[in-house]
Amino acid sequence: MEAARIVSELRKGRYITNIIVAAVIVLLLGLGIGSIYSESLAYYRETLTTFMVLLSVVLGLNIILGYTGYVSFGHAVFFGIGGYTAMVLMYYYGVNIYLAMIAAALVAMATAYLVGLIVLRLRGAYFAIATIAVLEASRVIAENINYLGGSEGLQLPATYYRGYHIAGYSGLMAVHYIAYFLLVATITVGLLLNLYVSRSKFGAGLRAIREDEDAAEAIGVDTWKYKTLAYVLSAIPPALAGAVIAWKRMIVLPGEFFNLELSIKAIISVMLGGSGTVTGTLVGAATYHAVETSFLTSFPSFHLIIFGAAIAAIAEFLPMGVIGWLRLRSAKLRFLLE
Amino acid sequence: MVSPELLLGGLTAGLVVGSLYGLAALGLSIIWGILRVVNLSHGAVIALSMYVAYLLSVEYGYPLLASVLISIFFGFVLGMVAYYLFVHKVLGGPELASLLSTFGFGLIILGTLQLKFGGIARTLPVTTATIEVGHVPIRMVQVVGAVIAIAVAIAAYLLIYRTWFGRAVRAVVMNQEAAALMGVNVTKVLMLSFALGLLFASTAGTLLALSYSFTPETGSMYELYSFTIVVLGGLGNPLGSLIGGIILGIAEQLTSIVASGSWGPLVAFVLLLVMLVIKPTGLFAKL
Repeated sequence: MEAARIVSELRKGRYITNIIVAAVIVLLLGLGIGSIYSESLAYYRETLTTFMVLLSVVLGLNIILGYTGYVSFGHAVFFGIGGYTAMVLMYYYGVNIYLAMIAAALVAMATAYLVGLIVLRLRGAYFAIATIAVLEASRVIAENINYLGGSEGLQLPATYYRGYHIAGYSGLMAVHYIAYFLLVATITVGLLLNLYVSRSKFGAGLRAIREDEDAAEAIGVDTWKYKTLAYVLSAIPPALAGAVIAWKRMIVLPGEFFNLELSIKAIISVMLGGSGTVTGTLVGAATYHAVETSFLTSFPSFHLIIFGAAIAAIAEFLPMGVIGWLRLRSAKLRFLLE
Repeated sequence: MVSPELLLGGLTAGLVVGSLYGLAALGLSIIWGILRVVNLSHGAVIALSMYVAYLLSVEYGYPLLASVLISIFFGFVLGMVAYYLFVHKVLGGPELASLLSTFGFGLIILGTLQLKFGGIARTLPVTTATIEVGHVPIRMVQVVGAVIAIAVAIAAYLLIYRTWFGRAVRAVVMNQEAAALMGVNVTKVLMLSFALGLLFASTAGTLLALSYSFTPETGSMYELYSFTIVVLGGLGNPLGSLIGGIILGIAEQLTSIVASGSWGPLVAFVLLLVMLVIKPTGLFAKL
């Protein structure tokens, strides 16, 4: 009887998660459509654009950090690779953003596979540090290679944007709207990936690696294959977002696209929400974004200090995150929050 | 083609700057080896020590030597306080918790420095006398700094392997419960080790500030160098850190001569990745 109850609770939990995820996507879409017709929503469109960039890295990171337990400190490297891949294709070959996004995701996945051959041999803090090194090395490479624009970056001419239209807007006027919807698509892909990992046998294997990698290997989980695939999948959402942002801003710069701070923000968001949960990614990224934007506007010069204190406090007093804490507090929520 | 004189110059410059990198890395290495905490506030502490020296000598007009000594010692005091505020509670917990709490501590320092000093590069008022080795100019203060760095690394080695405190430290590393049963005050050993780690970071930072200009962000580069060196030299081994630092310093200087200065940092990352793959335990034995 107990088992049957748990199964029914788990089903209910999945159902609730589906509704939450669908509601978030519908809300984001609704606001985008609204902003086309009402200029007063433009502020929300732009702040949600920033939010979705963070969320894309969070959704990728949650797969490798949350489910697999590998602390990737430099996950924004895939945002950068996505942005640079898309920009090279658009700048040199005039490729449109849609194809550039797909290429960005593929290149980021291939890079994740190759980098994974090196860094996934490492565990714990060694892995964390190696991922920082990969991020910083990518930035130095981008700064030093002329083809990638060096430290000046690559900039698209305004004429490139002629062919884009949406709801009566065209060219540069249309970019903000199209970029917004492309980010909603990115977030949708990221959420679906997380739902898949959360509910599949593959995800169960990743959790086994997180709890005890050697034991997982011993009971027959092909740990190498599993964690490589997790790392490759985790590169997709940030790479897509990187491509969109490169297109929206018209320019890629090494320091902005290979940005350790974005990686750290994503880690904090994952931690804050509760790592290895789907709803946690949304809660964490939204909370972080809300806190950051309000501090930035009310205490612009103090924000790093307050930030630092908040991060340390989370690590010391709320190490499981909000969702993790709720799940621990109540047996019922344990099953309902996925 | 690189001439022999230029090569000699590069080697000497690398040795000089590398011993300072080694000392910085020693601070990270000791904390990592003893507390099992990767101190992500390392770079911020290095930057902080630079600004303490700057504040005292330039803004308050203290003599340079006094400012330098205070800024070095400041790291030790800061370490004792920071241990209880940011480290003690996350020991033995998940790795991520200690990474985040020390990173938070680092952000508080960084935020304070940016608030007070902004992003303008600063320098300390030091003599610019240089000697020239094989057409590569090397500043006198760097040579003095290198000598101090090597002396401190040797002192750290003696402290860990030749004193009662060092024996207590090694006992704590091996088995905390057993050490506690033998009458070692584990918390005190851990606290002092953390303070010692920050002392080495602040010493390196102060000495680096004597020869290079700095901004609040400067520390993050030294932090990455320190990671590389720790991986190169092995955890908690003072002489390993020193030698690892010198290897990195020479590799960086030679790259700058052969290619250009901006490729220098890439050497550190490539070296780090290669080392992590072929021998993540470092070239030298563990503590």
